Amino acid sequence: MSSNRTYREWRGARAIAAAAALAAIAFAPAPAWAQGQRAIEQGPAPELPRTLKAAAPIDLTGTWVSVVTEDWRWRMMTPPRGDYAAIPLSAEGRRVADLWDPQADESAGLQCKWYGAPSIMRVPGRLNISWADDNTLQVQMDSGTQTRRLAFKAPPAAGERTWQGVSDAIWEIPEGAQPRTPKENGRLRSGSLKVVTTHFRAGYLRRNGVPYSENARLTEYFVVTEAPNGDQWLVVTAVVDDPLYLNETFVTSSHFKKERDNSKFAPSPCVASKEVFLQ
Amino acid sequence: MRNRTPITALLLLVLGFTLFGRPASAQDESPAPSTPAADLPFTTVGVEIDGYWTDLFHEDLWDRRSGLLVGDFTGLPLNEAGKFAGASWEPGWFAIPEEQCRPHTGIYALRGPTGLHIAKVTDPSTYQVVRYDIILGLSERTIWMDGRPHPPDYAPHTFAGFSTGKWEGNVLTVTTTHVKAGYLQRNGPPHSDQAVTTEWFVRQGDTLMLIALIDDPGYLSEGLMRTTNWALDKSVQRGGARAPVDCSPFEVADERGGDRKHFVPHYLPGDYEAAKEFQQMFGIPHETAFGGAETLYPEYQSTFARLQAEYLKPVMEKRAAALRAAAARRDFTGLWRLNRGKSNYEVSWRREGLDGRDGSAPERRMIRIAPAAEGASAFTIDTQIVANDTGFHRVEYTAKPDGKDYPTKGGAVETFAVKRVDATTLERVGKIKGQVVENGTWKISPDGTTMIVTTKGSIEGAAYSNTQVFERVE
Repeated sequence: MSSNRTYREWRGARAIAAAAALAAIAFAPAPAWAQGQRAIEQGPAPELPRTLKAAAPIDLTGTWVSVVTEDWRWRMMTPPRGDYAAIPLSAEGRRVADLWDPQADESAGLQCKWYGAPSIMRVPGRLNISWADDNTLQVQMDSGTQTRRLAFKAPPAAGERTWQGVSDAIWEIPEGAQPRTPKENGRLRSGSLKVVTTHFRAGYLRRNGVPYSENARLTEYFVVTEAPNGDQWLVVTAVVDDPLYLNETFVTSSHFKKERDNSKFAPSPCVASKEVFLQ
Repeated sequence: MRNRTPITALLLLVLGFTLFGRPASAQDESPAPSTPAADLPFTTVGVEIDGYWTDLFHEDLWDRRSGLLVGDFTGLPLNEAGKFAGASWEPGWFAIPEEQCRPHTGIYALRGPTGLHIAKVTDPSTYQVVRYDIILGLSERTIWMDGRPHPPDYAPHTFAGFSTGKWEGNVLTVTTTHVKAGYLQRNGPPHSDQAVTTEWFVRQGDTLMLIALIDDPGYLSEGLMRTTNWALDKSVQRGGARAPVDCSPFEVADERGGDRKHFVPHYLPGDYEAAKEFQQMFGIPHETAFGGAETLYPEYQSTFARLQAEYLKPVMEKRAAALRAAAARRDFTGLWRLNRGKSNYEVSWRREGLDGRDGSAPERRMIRIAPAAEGASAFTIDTQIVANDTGFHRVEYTAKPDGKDYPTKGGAVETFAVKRVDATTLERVGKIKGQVVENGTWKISPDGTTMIVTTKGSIEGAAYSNTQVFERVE
C-alpha cells in the first residue's frame, strides 16, 4: 500500500478489477473446448443448402391436373364478350377488353394471349414439373405447349419478351424452421415456393379478352397439401399487379391434383378463343 | 502496490479472454444456422392467422356474393343424389320463417360475403393456443388446438361442426366432422351430415388462403376442393368482419305472405323449367349445368364443345331466321343486345361498382320491342348496371308512335313520348313532372341488324350523352 493511497482506494480498485474479470468470463463466447464438446454431443451444425433443389421443403415435381371447381364458366368455356365479373378492371382495361377481337388475334398469330404466365395456371390442363438443374424448376404445360422456368437468382430480364417471362423463385419456410427433406416421417413438410415473374408479353387474364399489360407483375405462391386419402394437391396463388389495366391487385388460387404418371399429359397448341353468340 | 491493481485487472481480463473468450468463428467448426442470408434459396415467413381479414372476391363471385342462378351447379362433383336434391331447391326457401335465422353450416360459412375475425385463445398458465374462434356473423366456428378427440359418431351435429386443428409448419390443418346437413352454395346443391372437411389455412404475406376439401359420400362422387382468399384488414374500423348476430324470433318476418303455414318452396322432381334460365343465358346444356366429376377435368372441354354446339344449334337457326326476317321488314321489333365496345358513354358522374370500380358503361343491356295493341309497341329494357351484380334493372313502357306521353315503370324518367320520323327512325322524349329531361333518336341500319340509339339528357344535375350500338338478337 502506498503512502498516499488509502486502504479504501486499494480495495475499490481491486473490486473493479475483479468485476472486470468476471464480466470478461460471463460475456465472452463459449470456449473452443466447450464448443467442441457440444459438437461431439450434438454432431456438427447442419450445412445450409445453397441450391433451390437442396433447400426444397416440399416436392413439386410430377404431373398435376387442374380440377376446375371454381370459375368454371370463365375457364372451361369462353365467357360472353364483356363478362368481366370479379376482375378489378380499370377504365382503360375495360375499354381495351371491349375491343376484343379473337379473329384479329388469330390472324396476327397471337393465339397464345391466354396462355401467358399471369393466366396459364387458370387454363384447364396438366402441368409437368421437374428439376431442369439444381436451381431451376421447369414447369411444362400441355395446354398451349408452354414452358416456364422458375429459377433461384434468375438472370436479369433481357432480350425479347416471351409469353412466360422471367421467373425468380425462392422457398418460404416458417420462422424458426430449417429447410430439410420434402418428406419427414412419411408426411409432407410445409413451405411455399414464391415466384416473381416479369418481362412477359401482354396477354389476357381471361379468354374473352380481359387484358394484362407487359408491365404487370406476377407474384405466385406454390403450396402442396396431402388429403386424408393420400391425394396430393398443388395450389398456386397468383397475385397480379397491373397499374395500367387493374384498379387493385387481382388474386386467384388454382388447384391441381397429382397424377400417378405422365400418361395423360397431351401437349396441344394455343387456340384462339371463339366467341359464342349468346342472348 | 499503487500500480499493481490495474495490472492485475488487465491480467485477469487477458486470462479471461484467453481461456473463455476465443470467438467461435475463429475455431474450426461450421457456423451455426442463422437467419437466411440474401444468397440462400430460402427465406422465413410468419405464420400467424389471427386478426381481421377482408374478402377478396376475385373468384366465384356469383357464388360468393350476388348469388348463383337456379340450377348453376357447374364445377361441382355432384353425384346423382346431389343433382336430384339440388334440382328441388327454390330461391324462396331462404325466406320462409323457419329458415331466416338458420346459420350457414361450417362448410359454406367461409364462402359467404363476410370478412373474418380470427381470434386466438391461449391458456393463461401455459400460453399454449387452446383454440381459434372464427367470428362470422350468424355463423361462428371454433377450431380446437388442444389435442382433444372428435366426439363419437352418435354425438349431435351442429351447424358449425366440430373442428380440430394442428400446425404443420406454416400451414394450419383443420378437420371438421359432425356438421348438420346444408348447402355447398346458396343456390341449393346439398351436402349431407356425413360430410367431412379438411382445411388448410396458409398465410402468404398479407393474404390468407383457405384450401378446403369436402368429402361427402352422400352427395359428392369425389372430394370438392376449393380455395378462398382474404386480404389482411389494416383499417382501424375493422369494417370487414361482422359481429355475431343475435337472430331472435322478433327479427323473423313473413316474407312470403299468402303461403300456407309451413309451406316449403320447392321444385318437384323432373321440373327443370327454372333451371333453363341459366342454361339459356350462357349456352350451357343441362347435363353440364348440373355438374358431375367428369365436368371438372380438362378433357371435358371437347365434350362440352360438342354438347354446346348441339344445344345452341336451334338457337342459332332461330336467330338466323329472325335476322333474315328483320332485314326484310327493317323495323324495330325484336330483341337487341348492347355492343359496349362500339358504344360511347359520356357521363358527368362516376358510377361506382360494388367494389368502388368505375363503370361508365352498363355491364349489359338488352332491349325487347314487341308489337302491342292499337299500333303501339311494348319496350322492355333490362340493364345490368355494373359488373359483379347479377341483378337486372328493368324499365318498361308501352307507347304509340304519336308523340304523346306514356307512363314508364321502373326508371327515373316518368313518361316517354315516341314519334316515328320515317320507317327506320324514331324520336323519344323523356319527362319528369312534365319537364323534358332527355331527348333521343333511335335508328335502324339499312340491313335491319343494327340499331343506334343516341341520347342526351340531364336528371337532377347529372348529365349524360350516349351513343349506344345494339345488335339484333332476334
